[in-house]
Amino acid sequence: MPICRTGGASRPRPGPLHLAILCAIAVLPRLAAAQDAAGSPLGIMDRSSGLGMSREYNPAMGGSLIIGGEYLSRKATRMSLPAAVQQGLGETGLHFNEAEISVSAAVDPYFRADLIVAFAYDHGAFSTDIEEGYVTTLFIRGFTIRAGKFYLPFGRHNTLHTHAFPFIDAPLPLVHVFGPEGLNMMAVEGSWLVPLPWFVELTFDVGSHDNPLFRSPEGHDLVYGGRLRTLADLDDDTTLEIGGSYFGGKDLAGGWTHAYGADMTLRWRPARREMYHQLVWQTEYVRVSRQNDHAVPQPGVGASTDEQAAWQALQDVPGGSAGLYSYLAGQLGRRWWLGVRYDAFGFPWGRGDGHHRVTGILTFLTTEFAALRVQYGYLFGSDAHQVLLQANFVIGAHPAHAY
Amino acid sequence: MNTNTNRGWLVAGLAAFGLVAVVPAADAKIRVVATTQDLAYFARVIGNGEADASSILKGFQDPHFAAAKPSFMVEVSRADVLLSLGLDLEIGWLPLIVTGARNPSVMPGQAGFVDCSQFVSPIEVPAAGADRSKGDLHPKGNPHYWLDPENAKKLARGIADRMTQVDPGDAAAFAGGLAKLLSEIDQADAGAKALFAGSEIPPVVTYHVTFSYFFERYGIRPAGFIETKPGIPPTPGHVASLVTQLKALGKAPAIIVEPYYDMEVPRELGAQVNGRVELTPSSIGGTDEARTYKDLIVTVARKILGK
Ligand SMILES: [Zn+2]
Repeated sequence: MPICRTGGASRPRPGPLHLAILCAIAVLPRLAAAQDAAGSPLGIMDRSSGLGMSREYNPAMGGSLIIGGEYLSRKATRMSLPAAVQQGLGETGLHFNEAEISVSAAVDPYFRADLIVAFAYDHGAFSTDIEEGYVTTLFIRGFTIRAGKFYLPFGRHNTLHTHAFPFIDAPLPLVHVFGPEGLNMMAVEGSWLVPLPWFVELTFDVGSHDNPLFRSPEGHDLVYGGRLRTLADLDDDTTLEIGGSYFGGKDLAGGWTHAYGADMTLRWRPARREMYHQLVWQTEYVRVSRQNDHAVPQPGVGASTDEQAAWQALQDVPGGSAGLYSYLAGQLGRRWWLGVRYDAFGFPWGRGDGHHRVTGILTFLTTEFAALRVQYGYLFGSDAHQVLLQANFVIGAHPAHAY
Repeated sequence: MNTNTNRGWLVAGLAAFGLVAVVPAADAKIRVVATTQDLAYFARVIGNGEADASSILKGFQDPHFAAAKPSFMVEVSRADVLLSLGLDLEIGWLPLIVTGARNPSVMPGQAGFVDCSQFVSPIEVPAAGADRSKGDLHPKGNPHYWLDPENAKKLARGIADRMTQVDPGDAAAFAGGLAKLLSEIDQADAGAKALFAGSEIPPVVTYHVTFSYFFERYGIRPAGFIETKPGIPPTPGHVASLVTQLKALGKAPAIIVEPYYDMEVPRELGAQVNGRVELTPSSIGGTDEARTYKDLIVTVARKILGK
């Protein structure tokens, strides 16, 4: 069996993440049909661990820690806010928001595994959750297959972990439609880099019905969907990304629920000054429609907040509803970011308990691993003011910065 | 978005794919994609007309903070050879591009993937291992090794070997290209030596430890750095202590700034110590003067000397 080179006379050892990725993809290509078998420059493992406790195959580990504070205006008690907003909010006070541990490694020459465990604290209760845990293939030309539990590729925001959110809280339409945990479930996914002169990626997923939006009464129905993502370079400094997403499955009433998404991201990052300036304008539109309007049984008293939120989302507007968010974020200097966001849910207005909000955020970074953020939000309708503070730390394996 | 629009995209995508698929790959040239413009230049000269070489970054861009643009995945998906500098310089972005490209030919471990740091011996390797309290950028040693002509020759030979391994049919062309490149590197070295010979070298301050290998080759001891640690921006206290240090030397320093750093702090420092601030290329293409490797090395020497 081929082995990854982990040590050599004159070369320093690779770091954990690099090692994981290099090892992961080092030897796989041998499987690929088009691969020239000659000349794989693999080294020989010349060290051994007598007791079998070698560190060489330890996974790359990383962690993040988020602590925060919140002020909610007196006029707006938590319970007076719309259901979806409540879930994005806590209460006035200091919070230990979330800690995450991530572990990544090559399983063997053909698969890579990633596991992200989240520890959260909400209203006096700690909870632990496998946020993501999946294996990914590494040996197929043009194609990737992934299986496990993960954030499904619905739009841009849904796949982000909390510490990578552009604002402290998630946008209203996504919380409304998929609940505070997002669209995250057991699934099998295939994704294809379409061989075109510009970037086009097609992803297809088949998932379980773990999300409250798709909780079918049968208990065994699947969720189907995917995403088309395209990106064009407008010039050396500017890119435009346009994507479309769809997921569908049976809802609590046994009828089909469809979730559609469209997203657009314009990013400007000037060459020579990439460390100091960046401008991002991102907009996502989300629409949910139901095949039929027959009544959905209300979840019992013991039901989870997810379930209640999903039920609520389906009640709000018979036949479905829609929402969007749009934000502009700019990097002012090496350590400062400023952002403003508008988000709304409950289109068309006047049919349900639609609500909308404006949010501003200021971020100070010491390095890319530590950020302090302060955010102000005003919720129209509820006339609620909210101030959030957050300190966000990342340690361990070097994080990958998805574009 | 509705299903019809979704379907329309799909149909358009598949149709376009069909068009691309029926066009045969006519050129037999190997495609080399490099992370930096220096590596792409080496591959182009070695290629001697038999290789298409392109770089992900332009010479004036910061290799520490590049973005994993999906358009680079498209480029790497069609590459026969991928050249990287290694030593974790590209760790924030290259792994995403490599995995996103889904191209088994240039996966690490294959002949098509070249971590060029294997051809040189890195300096400034953290003795007790890396720790982010010492800055984040160089956990495995200084990755700016291409600025030493001796290293450049090792790089040239290593890259030529790999290109030949991937495309043995063009071995003769590559050998000719390698000879040209080695002679250019010798000229670069001779050019820098001629400039330094008989000139008094002023105290040199750089923004980042980009020029360590260059300094070591030509016996220059840096007088200070504008950054407090690799990747950590300057603080007023650090600049103040730098001013004290430089004034104590009693000579006007040369303040060398790579094209991708902000000029404000270097200019402030220059004003306080009567220093000469020079925007200096650290890669081929970094400034208009540095179009070849020889030009790059000679330009750096000129900027230091103010000639
Ligand atoms: Zn560096």
